[in-house]
Amino acid sequence: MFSHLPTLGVGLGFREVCKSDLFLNRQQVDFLEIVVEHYLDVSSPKQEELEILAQHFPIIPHGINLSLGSAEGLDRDYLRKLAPLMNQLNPPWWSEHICFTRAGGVDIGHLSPLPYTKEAVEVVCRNIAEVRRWFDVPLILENITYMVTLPGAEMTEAQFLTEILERSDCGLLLDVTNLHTNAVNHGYDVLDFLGELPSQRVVQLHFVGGHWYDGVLIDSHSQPTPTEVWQLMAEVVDRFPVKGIVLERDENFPPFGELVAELQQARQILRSHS
Amino acid sequence: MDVDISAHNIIADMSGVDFLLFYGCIITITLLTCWKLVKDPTKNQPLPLIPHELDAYEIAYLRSGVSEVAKVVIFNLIQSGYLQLTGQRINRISNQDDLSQLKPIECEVVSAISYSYEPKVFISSISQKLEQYCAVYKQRLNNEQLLYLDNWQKSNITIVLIGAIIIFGLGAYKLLLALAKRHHNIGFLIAMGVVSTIFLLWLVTKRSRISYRGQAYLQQLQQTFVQLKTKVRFAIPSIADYSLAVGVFGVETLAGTSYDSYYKLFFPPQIARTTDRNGSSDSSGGGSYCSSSSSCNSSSSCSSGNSCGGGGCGGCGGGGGD
Repeated sequence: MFSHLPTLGVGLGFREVCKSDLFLNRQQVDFLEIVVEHYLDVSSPKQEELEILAQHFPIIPHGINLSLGSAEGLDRDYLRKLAPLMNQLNPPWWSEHICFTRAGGVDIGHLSPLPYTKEAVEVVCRNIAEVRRWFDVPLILENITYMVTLPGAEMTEAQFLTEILERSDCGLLLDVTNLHTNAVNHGYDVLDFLGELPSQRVVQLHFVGGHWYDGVLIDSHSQPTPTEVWQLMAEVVDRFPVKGIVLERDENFPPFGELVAELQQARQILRSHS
Repeated sequence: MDVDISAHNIIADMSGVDFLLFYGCIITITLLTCWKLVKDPTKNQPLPLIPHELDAYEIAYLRSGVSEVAKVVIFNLIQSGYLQLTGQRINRISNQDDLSQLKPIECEVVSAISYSYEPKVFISSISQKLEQYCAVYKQRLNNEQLLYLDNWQKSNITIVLIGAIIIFGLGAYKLLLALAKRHHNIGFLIAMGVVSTIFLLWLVTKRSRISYRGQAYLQQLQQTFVQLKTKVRFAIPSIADYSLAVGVFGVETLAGTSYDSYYKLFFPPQIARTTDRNGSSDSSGGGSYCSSSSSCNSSSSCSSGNSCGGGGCGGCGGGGGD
């Protein structure tokens, strides 16, 4: 199913502030994940930056704002801008989120959860079918965190993800930090969750650390990866044929050596459990 | 004088105005051809990959040659405690006699400092010796076609010489004919010949020592490591970070850092002033600066320091969902 995809190893979500250190520690980073929106309609220096990155690392594009869960359909303008980027990079796969970021033509600026209903599954699958008409690069979908559980659910979160993945024939980008965060905030068992996922569809993982605020675990991408997430990662790698793992640090950057140490730990887990 | 070079032919029989038009066309075609032929062959070549292990000396050599390498070497020796700055002069730290950890080029510099020197004087005196150590950099850079190769320049000279012979030969022939016929309206003819010759001379001498590919590669390095500039000023850089920053950007990048006095040796304040850029008192009054006071481990390959502090680019945090 996704077994033909290459194994990329352990990578880093590229952030411009770390560029120098990234190149000084190139051997520690197997591949990069870039945020698609940083390179749509960009100036020449940004384009040159992308070219340099692509010359030195395998690149996985990671979209944020496609809004696959929008009932009104996809933004064609966005897809039009995305097409040349995909052609330029020709990645082994690319990723987006199972969520919506736009409603009624208004950009919410937030990854918003969908209700776990058959109707929402229909919407997402219809939008993915539209995406497929634009790109034939394998698409993998990421689970998000959510602060509230939407009422009217007809299935569990894991069933919802599985239904979408199976019907749209997509892979899963399992964010183990998001899974841990949701499990903590909403009180469910991560192992039960993993047991409901389609094992052959898990392609890539995300990991990072969040912070606590007022009794709630926030997915802020701002802290070192906690022990529980490392344990969960080991469990996931043990169960699923993971092709790549990405550290997704966005804020409160530590010395780059600490990020490298996290990559090494993830690499160790990938080697010892896969 | 009667010089019989006026055998009838199309050029000899041309009127002055017609010949000047014809000569102008020949000059234009010749100059355009020369312009095209002496172009840098590396213009559209893809750039080499940035190596895993960067050599600050090699980058400094690419950027500006031996004198820049010398500046980086001296700076590294100051960082690692072999040399120190005392006022406007560099001198050797007397208790540092173990040179076994140093590269040959660094040994050469340390050995050459027997007493205190002004850096600029010292660099000009040692540059010739350092050339032999830089030969390996030159060879590698030549292999990558990052420097403008000598044989390209030779070929350029040949092309320009041929162009000059065409322009000069035709002009001289008509000039002699004009003089033989006792015509003195030859000012335009001479002016056209002289101007085109100057253009050809400019064409053959305007080449920089770096090829287009070299310039683009250097620019790529400077873009890639631009955060090092911030790191050496505001974070805790390692010795390797400092060294690479000076190699890639030059001594200028040390302005405002803890090695500001080294920067000022090469870029002294133009107007005497009582305060430096930070408002503190001027550091030119003697005393020891920039000695081996780095707090970083020399074996660290730039893994320490916080170049990513604060802000960040947001990435896909976007309100926190992914």
